[in-house]
Amino acid sequence: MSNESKQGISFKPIIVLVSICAIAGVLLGVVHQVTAPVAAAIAEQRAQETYASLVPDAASFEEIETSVEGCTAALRAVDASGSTVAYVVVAQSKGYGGQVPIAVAFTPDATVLSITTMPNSETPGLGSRIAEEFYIGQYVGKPAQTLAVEDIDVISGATISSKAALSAFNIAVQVFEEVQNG
Amino acid sequence: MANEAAAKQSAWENFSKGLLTENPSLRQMLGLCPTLAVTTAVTNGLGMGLATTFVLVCSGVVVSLLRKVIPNSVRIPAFITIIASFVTLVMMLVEAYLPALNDALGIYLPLIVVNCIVLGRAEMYASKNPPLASAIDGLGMGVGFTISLVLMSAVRELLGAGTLAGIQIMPSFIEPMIIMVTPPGGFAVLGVLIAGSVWLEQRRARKEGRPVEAAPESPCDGCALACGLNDPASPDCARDAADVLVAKVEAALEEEPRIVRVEVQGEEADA
Amino acid sequence: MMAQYASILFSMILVNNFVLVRFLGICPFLGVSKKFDSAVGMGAAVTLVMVIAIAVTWPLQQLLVAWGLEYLQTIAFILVIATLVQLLEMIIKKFIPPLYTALGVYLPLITTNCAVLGITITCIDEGYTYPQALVAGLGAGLGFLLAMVLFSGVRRRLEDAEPPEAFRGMPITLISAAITALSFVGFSGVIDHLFGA
Repeated sequence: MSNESKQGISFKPIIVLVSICAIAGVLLGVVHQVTAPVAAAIAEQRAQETYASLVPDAASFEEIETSVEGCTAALRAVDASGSTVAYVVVAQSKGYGGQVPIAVAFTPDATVLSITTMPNSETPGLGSRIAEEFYIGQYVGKPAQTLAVEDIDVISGATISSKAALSAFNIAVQVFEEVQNG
Repeated sequence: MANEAAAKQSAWENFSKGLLTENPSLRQMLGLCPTLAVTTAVTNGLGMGLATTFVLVCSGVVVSLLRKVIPNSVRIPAFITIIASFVTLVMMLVEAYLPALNDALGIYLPLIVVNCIVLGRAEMYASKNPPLASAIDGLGMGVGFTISLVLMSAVRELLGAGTLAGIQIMPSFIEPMIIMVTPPGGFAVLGVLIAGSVWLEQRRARKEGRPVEAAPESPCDGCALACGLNDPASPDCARDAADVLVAKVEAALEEEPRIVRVEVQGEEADA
Repeated sequence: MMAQYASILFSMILVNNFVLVRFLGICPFLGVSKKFDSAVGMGAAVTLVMVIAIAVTWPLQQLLVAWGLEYLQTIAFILVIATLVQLLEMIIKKFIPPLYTALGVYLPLITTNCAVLGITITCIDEGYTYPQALVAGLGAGLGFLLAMVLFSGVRRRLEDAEPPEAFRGMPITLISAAITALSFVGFSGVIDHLFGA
């Protein structure tokens, strides 16, 4: 930076800079107060829509505690009469452009009821194709056991995204087993 | 009346220079990181362009309003703070109202802070001009940037995935060229687009009998940010810094005998 | 444990190379890679700043989270990095003059380099622990250095090349960058198999 005010220490630059920071901080705080609840509500609404699309029969979802790393949410899907119809697990694993989260619904008798990918930053037209039926659909109906790469067809050119979805699935299976066993 | 017309004319010129002659990505080679990174789908390119435009216009106005208040010695940190505030604002708004775009742009959204275009316009234009002119300048640059992002992502999405904004365009029997949406494809498409814009400019220059210019050697020619500040009058000038640096390195190397490649960059004699 | 760190380090250098795969730090990559010496100097300076920036921003993020101010992350990080680079420049100039001769001139150029801000945010997003984040920073910096050095070699050859007129300068440089990036695509998957991560 330039050395114009070398003769005496001038406080003006510091005061101006600090006040700009302070004003910016306060204003952003105000905006944050407004947008944070909206963002949280939208995230919650999107999550609920995803769960509902996985288990259409469910009347409500109850959160379950879990300690498995990589699992962001585990829920018990309950129908109107109060009996458990499915377990929904959201798990994620690192893909090409960041975390690849998927949501899996398991039936109580340990098969995959339905599965879907959640919003991710995988390359559009390449890694994002894990959302397509020919890839993600192959998990449906499989027993709730961890799978190896050989057990599924990966997308050519998008091996990393395919494997990320697979390991997210395996995390979900672990969570499901933990929930079932205790 | 004549004055008004002139003012209108110059406002239009101020706006339109960002579209073509001083287009940030294709002519000035600024903001190349997002230009390469988010242009795998048209919607992402458009979203990034609009977010950057918003930051450009708002920060331009604020920097211009505060141009007489901010002491010269802290102007860069002050500009960065102002820009970062607007970027944070955009991030909050996008997170709350456009969550899908938030997912797609990921880390590149906060990185608008270090987009050379934004600090470049604050330093080179907004800090020396009134608010309205700064807003128009920012809008022009932003729209120009958006156009190049959309153009670039249209090419990449169409060739790489066969779609445009998610809608299937290419007949499905044509296998998409996956490489276009991968990083190497990004570099190649940008190279070809810049060559295209240079070719258009050269053809126009030949017709009008003006000297024909080649594309810049490096983004330093227009970059205001990654390389300090590229204002020839500024003590922090990038190209000066680069020259100082080369001189220093060469002086340091001379102390111990070593082969130093001395490269003389002659002016294009055939130009 | 070691394998985990090695996996982060090498995936940052090769698979997620900051310049050629993530497109961060493109301006210095294209601007300063014309000469081998300046490519090495810039790369080393970026590596140094990345590691120090992470050393400071990672604890800062914990503070921001504790105070519920995560939304100020971008502002806080960029200001801290800018201040840090200034301080670093002064310290090196005063105490390690030889290092200053080698790296000093590059330091002001990196204040607002998107690769530095990028790595600090990436480390937070990935949820790395403190040591993991430092290793990731080192890897990202070395990856940047590697890309710069490789590309400076490519560009020296380019100077003798005679592309079509419209391709001279930047366009042909970008096309060569595409080919350099292509060679890095081959690395994806290598790390998984090497370290079983």
